[in-house]
Amino acid sequence: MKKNLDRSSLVPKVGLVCSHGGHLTEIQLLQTKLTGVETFLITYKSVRTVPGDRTYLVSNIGTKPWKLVVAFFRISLAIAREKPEALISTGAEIALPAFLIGRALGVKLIFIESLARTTRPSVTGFLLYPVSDLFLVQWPRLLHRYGDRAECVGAVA
Amino acid sequence: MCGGCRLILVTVGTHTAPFDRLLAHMDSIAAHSDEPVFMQTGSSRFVPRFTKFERFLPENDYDRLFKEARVIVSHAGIGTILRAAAQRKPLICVPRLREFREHWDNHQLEICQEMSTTGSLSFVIDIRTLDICKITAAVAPSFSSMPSHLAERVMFFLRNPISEAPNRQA
Repeated sequence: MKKNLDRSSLVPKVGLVCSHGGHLTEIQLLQTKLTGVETFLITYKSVRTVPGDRTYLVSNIGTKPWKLVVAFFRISLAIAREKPEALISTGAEIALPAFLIGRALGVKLIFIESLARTTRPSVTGFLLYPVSDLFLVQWPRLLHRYGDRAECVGAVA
Repeated sequence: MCGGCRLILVTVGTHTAPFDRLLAHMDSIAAHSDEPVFMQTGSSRFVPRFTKFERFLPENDYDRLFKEARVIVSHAGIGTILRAAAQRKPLICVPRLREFREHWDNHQLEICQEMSTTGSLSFVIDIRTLDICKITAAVAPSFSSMPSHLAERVMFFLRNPISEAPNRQA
């Protein structure tokens, strides 16, 4: 297993991974509050997103296995190119291949359960809780649905 | 509130499920209203007869309409709620419901109930009770009064990734 990729810069580079809609809005809001951090974005193609030097778009995975395979390769290329120290995701399923790749490369994994989840965990959150290095929920009532490593320190808003 | 604005923006988001129930109801309200109504119809099959509409809008156009609107009438999508809260824009939500196949679960209803308890959010469940009076009385949403340290926690972790005792804060 590869260890953390070497970075000579003191500015941490972080990959932001999210699907579209509210997940994207939450990540964008968080991004404005991350100071002194270099970021790039991995998200779905949509009317709100345009590809760019620091924005990588993949087709909506949905429930189609072949789209998951295609997304896996595109996300791998993005992470290999950017060499982040950490990945942050607000879900949804796009986080699954991203965190799998990140884990293999020794990248720190931060999962933030969406604000949309008030009392019940998301499937993505349930699956990624065991592998996340930092796991945050935004509603206190959700805290007790996860194990001891889950934290609640407020909302992204 | 934007005192000079006269536009009701109706939005159903980018979800793959339709939300014809909201659009049809608001179209009937628009038929008897002298205030302009614009609808973002998304994946819905309903075609409005009394309003201008687009299925999806580029970010800049949507942002402009959002800022111009006097009030937003929307599904209870967290993205819309966040945007309205940030702009202090009056918002009234109609949550998508699983029983009408508008979403795969009732988490939007749970959002409405949780926010109206811990912060503030105008919403209706029975769409027959949504009228121009309730729309006009809508307030800007706000989340819990509990201070947030989420960004700080993330920043602290990025600079100190060595694991420590988690800050549970139930």
